[in-house]
Amino acid sequence: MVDKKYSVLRWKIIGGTMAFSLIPLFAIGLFVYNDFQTAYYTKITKNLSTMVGDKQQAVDMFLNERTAQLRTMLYSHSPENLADKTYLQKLFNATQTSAQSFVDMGFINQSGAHVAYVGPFALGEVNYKDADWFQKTLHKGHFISDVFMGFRRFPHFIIAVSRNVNGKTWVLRATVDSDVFDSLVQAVQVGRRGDAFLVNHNNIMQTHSRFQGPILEPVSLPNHRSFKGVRVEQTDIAGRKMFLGTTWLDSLRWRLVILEDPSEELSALWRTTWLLAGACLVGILVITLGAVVMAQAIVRKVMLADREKAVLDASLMQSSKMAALGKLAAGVAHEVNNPLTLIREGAGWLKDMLDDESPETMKNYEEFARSLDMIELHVDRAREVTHRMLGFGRRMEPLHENVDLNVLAEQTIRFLRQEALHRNIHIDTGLSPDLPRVTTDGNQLQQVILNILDNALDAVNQDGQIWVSTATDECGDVLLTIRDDGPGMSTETLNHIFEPFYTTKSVGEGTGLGLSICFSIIEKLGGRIEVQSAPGEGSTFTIRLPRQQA
Amino acid sequence: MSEKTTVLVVDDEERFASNMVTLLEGHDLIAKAVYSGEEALDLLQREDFDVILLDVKMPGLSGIGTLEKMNLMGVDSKVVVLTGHASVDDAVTLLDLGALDYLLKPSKTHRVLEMIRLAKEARDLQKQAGV
Amino acid sequence: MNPLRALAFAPPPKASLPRLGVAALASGLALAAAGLDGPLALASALGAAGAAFAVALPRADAGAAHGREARDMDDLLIHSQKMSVLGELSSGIAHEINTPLGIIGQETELLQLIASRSEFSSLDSSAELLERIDQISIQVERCGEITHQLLDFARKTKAVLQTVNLGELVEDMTRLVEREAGYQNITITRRYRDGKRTISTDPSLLRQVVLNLLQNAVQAVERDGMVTVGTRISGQQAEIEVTDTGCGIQPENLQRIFDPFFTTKPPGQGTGLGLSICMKIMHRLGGHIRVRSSPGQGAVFTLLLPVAGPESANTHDNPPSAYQGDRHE
Repeated sequence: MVDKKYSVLRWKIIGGTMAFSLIPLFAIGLFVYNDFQTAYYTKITKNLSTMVGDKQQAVDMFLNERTAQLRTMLYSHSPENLADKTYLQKLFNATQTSAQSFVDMGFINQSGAHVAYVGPFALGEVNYKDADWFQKTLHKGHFISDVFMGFRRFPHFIIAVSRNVNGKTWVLRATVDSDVFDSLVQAVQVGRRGDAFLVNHNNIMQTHSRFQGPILEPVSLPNHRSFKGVRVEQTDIAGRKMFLGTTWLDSLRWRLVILEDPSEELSALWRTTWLLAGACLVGILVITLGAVVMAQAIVRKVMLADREKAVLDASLMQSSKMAALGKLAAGVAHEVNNPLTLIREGAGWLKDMLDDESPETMKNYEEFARSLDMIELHVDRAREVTHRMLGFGRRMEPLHENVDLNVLAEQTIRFLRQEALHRNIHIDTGLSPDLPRVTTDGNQLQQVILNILDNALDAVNQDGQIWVSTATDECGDVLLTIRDDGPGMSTETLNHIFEPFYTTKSVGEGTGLGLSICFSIIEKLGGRIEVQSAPGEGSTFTIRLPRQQA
Repeated sequence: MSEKTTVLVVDDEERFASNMVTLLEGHDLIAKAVYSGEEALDLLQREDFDVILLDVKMPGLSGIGTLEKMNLMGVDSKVVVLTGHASVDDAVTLLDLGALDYLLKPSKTHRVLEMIRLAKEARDLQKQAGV
Repeated sequence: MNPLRALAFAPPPKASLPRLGVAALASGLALAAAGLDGPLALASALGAAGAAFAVALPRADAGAAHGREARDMDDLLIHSQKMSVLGELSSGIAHEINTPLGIIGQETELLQLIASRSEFSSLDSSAELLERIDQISIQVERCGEITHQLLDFARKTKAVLQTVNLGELVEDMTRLVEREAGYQNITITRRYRDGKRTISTDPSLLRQVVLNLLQNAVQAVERDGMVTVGTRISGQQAEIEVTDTGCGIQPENLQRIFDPFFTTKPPGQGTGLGLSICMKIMHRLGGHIRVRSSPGQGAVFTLLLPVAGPESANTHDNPPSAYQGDRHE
């Protein structure tokens, strides 16, 4: 029952500690993980967004430059010059020296006919009057087409600018190989699964993509209406979570798309997650261990405190018990003494009367006299008991009195003589005749002697011998030795007998407090209790008291 | 009940036991005294008594031990406990062991006689029922 | 520094206040250490701090409340144990005196016998002689009475009336039993009505009765059950009701449970005096015990008490002892 109480306490402490430690640990772990994740996502998003913005600017700049180049050409040269094929060829060659971005170039008049053409294809006779791009160029002044195959049989697009000179509109058109974009855009294809490409407003691929299909094929991407700036989002592409950064180009209705695989980008996060989980696990282990160890320590402390308290209670009980018993005994002794005195007087009177009678004349004289003797004898016997009770109950407060240890020992032995007789145990005394008196508390000392004697009787149990002796040693200390021929004690028992709650008696017979209280009493009186014993050799208890109490 | 009641007094206090015999004989009972539980058991093997006055605290076999042995021997005498030692636990133990009642010393002879009469009646009733 | 180590450095403090202080210190150390190590350390540091407080807090506030109550309870326990010890010891003393008294009594009776038969030459009549012997006999009886009283000395204290809070008194005893009952998985349910009202009675005697009934109830349940304690005041009568879910009392035993020495427990486990003494105490308090039970259904013991206290005549009357040999008188 007691064990259960402590085990409940232990589990409560362990539970409490674990709960209060693990909950914050998990909370913090989760918080840290979340924070990390958010930070990483933000970082990736930001990187992606920057990259998309940069690339978009690069692409736009490229297109703007080309457009500006053409426009400069158209405006700084007269239509007549440009209509001259050799002149145009010279100009074309000049542009190609700086950047080989143009495939061919053509100068077209208002009606859509090629006035001059330079380039690898035979397009001199082609009329663009009905071409959509031509009309748009006339209308808007410049135009950039989507990528298409056209007559040239490779993906390309057109940049065209127009100029009105004296009521006549001229158009300068150049073709750009879309490979230019590939090299421009693919530079940002990151990792093993990253991708970057351009699509037009119909989601038709405008460049080569690594994974999203060939050029001029439709791409399955979320369709965005045009917006300003850069958008980064997570999307599902072919069953894979990808980061998608996209923006519309300024110069035409194309979108730049950069895809990144988060599993590659976030690998640092995964590492942190595992690290965190590991740390949490270690934390749990350490906390569990700590909780168990701590609980053990606390429970042990509590147990110790409880024991101390029990000892205190027991000694409190003992002293209050003795005080109550003393009061009771004294009260009873007084009450009984009066009638006993009267009985004694009555018997005395009868004896006096009997003296006047002669044994010869009185019938039953002998019996009568014997009865009177018996009454006197037993009144004395009862009186002795009451006197002992009075002596026992007189004072309970600690005293410094001059105690004759011999008298005290004899008195105490008398308490137990009857009991010893019943069990056929002899109590022999060897009291030193010139024992000095001791300044100590006789009542408490008597309690100790009584207790040890009682233990000795219990040890002998039946048919045996107890020796009680007093002596002085060379230092002037007074010794009282109680020896029995009982079964003795093992070293193990010897080591524990003065501990509270240690008892070799069966449950209910002894509290195991007797000797521990004896020990503390004698210690308080400035003395010591020593014990010698071995199995089969009986036990010897020695109470050693200084002549003057400390 | 024409025949006299036989009583065995078991008490280690020899004077008490012999006095009790004297007093009981004075009241027309047949009484014998023994001074220990062992003696009582020994005598009970040979003789039958109606009532046994039993002390509790005795050297050697105690009153409780004696009563236990008597039960084992199948003694059907009525037992009245007569003692100066009055611990409640002992009283309960003895009553549980079949003692008829419990008297405390000092007890007036007429009270002891009354108890013996009741015990004798109980025994006679038991005998009649048994026959 | 590892935050958990910081906690480990916190010594187990004794008093509650220092305990909290050290917990705070340990937490502080742990947190400071965490600041150096980043978020992971922070996590374990908070855990450590939590642990420190978790340990410190319950003990801290338990300590204060516990101390006071425990002392009251212990006083009560010591009191009741003292009483039982007194009972044991006094029976020993009684024996020492009763044995010679028994012989003196016998001798006196023998003297009476002889005196009635003999003739005394020195006396005019044997009247004075017989009177003297009678006197001895009377004194022996007086001694006997004293020593017999000694045996229930502990229970013979006069009832001292006090104004008592009914619910509080019952609750004190309930708590005393509850600890023990908890181990046997017995729940104690409280149904205090009018618990705040006061009655005039002897608290220590009433406590003894209530405690006895509660202990009986818990013993009757044995394991896994419920004991219900209720109080009620109706008119001039206070009631304390103890109900258990034990196995109940056989109808033939119901008549006898208040008899001295009646017990259903095996030898050595109960004296069978509990309920008879309870009944006597209740009588002295001007009240009564009522019991209802059917086998298998548990038992209901009801203490009935006058709110105004017993009449003074009853208060000082010591009823005859419950368990001496003179039961046939």
